[in-house]
Amino acid sequence: MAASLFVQGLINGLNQGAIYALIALGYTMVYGIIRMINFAHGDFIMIGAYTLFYTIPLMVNAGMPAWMAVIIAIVVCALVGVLVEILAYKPVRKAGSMSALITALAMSIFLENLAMVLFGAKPHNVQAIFQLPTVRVGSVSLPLNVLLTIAIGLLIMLGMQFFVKKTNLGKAMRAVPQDKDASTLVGINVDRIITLTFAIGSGLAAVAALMYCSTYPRVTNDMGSMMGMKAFIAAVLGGIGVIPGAMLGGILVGLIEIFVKLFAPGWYEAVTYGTLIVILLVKPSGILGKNLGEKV
Amino acid sequence: MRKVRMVVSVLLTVILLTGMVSGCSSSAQTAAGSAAPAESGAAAAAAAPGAEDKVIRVGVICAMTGGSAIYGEGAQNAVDMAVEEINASDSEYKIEIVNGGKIADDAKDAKQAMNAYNKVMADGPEALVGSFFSSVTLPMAEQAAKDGMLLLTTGATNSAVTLKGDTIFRNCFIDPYQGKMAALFVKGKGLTKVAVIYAKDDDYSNGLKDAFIENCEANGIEVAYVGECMTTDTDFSSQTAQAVASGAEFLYYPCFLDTVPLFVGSARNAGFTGIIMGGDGWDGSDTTGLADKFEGCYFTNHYSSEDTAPTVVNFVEKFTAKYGTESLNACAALYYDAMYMLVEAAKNGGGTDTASLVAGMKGMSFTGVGGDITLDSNGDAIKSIVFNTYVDGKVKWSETLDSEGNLVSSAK
Repeated sequence: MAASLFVQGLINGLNQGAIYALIALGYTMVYGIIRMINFAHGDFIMIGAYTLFYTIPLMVNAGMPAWMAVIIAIVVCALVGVLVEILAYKPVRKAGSMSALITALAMSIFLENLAMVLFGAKPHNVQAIFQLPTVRVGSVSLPLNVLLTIAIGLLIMLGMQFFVKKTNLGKAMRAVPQDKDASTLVGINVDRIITLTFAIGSGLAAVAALMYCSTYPRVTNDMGSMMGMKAFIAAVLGGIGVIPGAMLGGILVGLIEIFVKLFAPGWYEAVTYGTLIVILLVKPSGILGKNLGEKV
Repeated sequence: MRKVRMVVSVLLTVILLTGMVSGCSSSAQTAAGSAAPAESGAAAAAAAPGAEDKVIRVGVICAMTGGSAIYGEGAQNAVDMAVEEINASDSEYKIEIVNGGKIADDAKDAKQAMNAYNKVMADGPEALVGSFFSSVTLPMAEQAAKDGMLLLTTGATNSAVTLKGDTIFRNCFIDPYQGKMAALFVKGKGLTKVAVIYAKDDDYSNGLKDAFIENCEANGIEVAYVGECMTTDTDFSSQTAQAVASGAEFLYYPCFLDTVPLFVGSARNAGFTGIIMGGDGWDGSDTTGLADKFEGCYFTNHYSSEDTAPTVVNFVEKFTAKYGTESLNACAALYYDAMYMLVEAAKNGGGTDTASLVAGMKGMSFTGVGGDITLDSNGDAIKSIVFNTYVDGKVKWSETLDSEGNLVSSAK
């Protein structure tokens, strides 16, 4: 393999991986707090992407930089996330994890079809978000966008770590999954903490949507399902519920996919999912996951 | 909580009731609509049972509702226009459209297609024209072959359609033909090294890719890289990086419009500066925000409204004056041609009964809006092909080649 092709693969892999990582961060956040796999998380990204699609032209017309639209997208996504939590997840929270899982699947399909009715099934191109140049070194092209995506991913990861570990709200968030009743006893409003978790997780989806659209400038109503699936794998690979694990898992999945595609493009999904199975066999809690026994 | 339930159930009842009322009104409309053809059918039967009346009775089928309704609208306008022209001319044979002059709706759905087929067959037509999509046309072609009915399909490019029977013809090219013509285009441009990236999970893409590679090799063009992707893929950075590394000067991407913008963006980002080409699946691709990247991209198509051939200019001028440009699409052009081909078939075969029309269709040579057509022994059209390119993100006609790859007409 030519060295330049290898370096190019590395860059492309990091780019795709950083986007997966951003999505996986939101996934892992929700799972870490309420032990629920939110399959609709990918569709929150779709909502963020559509919000960007409609608000970026407004931003540009108002003379503001296009990426400012992400603020509106964060608000919209957080609202949708909270709404979904209150309307769909809260009523089934006591019914067990299986009901919650199925509700999340249903919510994902509902959101996709709602988007099809509202925005149509036709894909739309999103306007350019960052006017970052592509640096060319020899035959390798390095889009500066990649560095930005990775930087944003790291920043969010560190921010979340700090928030969860150091702040009072973060501590409350960690207390809730350990023991809901005891948390209530010490004065934590469990419902409010869960709602807040969804707001943050969904807000992160909007940031992920921004970076996704800057690399793949297209929105469709079903873009969320595939993205959500890949990010889920990334989160499990890194250790679901562990914040740095999501980052690591995302980048790994991205690199694997891009390198497999270089040589056997038809095989990339088989290899990605195969890796997941191997990791689960060897270390069921994921690469960075701690092996905690089931709490009694 | 109970109040909320009350409100919801009342709302649902109202919605259901409105649904029923509107359902009633639409069925009343169809009842009124179907009365007309019954009368005209009776009139024709009374005029000459079995005798030669010099009127070709044609049933037309297309997608009139759903996401592809714009094709049906174009087809209806084009059929109306063609019939008016033919019947006003001194042509020996005239045309009558059954089903009250209306195109029967297949809604781009194979099941609906059979309903549409049965609907027009009830009026006793001598020939059928339609439909525009292969998936819809295949079951109709099978039934038409059994019924011994002439079926002239307009947009069904799947090669299996005309193999269903001797009475099935088409006036569009078949899928692999575009791959062959793309290879001849490469040869004409004097390029020697090409790359192909195709969707492995799509028949159309595979057909075009195979024909392209076969004809490239036959013409001494090196295929430096063949890459796969899936129709659902969004990331093409690996495949395009390989294509660039292979040193190819031309990149063939025979896939459908939804991934074309992502692909073109990815190829240009990877540093590919040569020509990128696709098939008629590219028609309608969104170029918003990618105008500079679409420079130097081409795709093959059935016809272009900018073609300078006299038949095309005539059609485009008349159609635009009457119906505007919104429904002026390839579908309209092919339905328009179909009407004139049936008149030609009646002339060749010497009668308007189905047997004479079928005899007249065989081996026909015809010049229409869709170019110069010769029907081969399968009933497939050997015809010229249009190459479109992009200027400032807008589709522009570039040139038209005949089936041997010779230039027929070009924009410059």
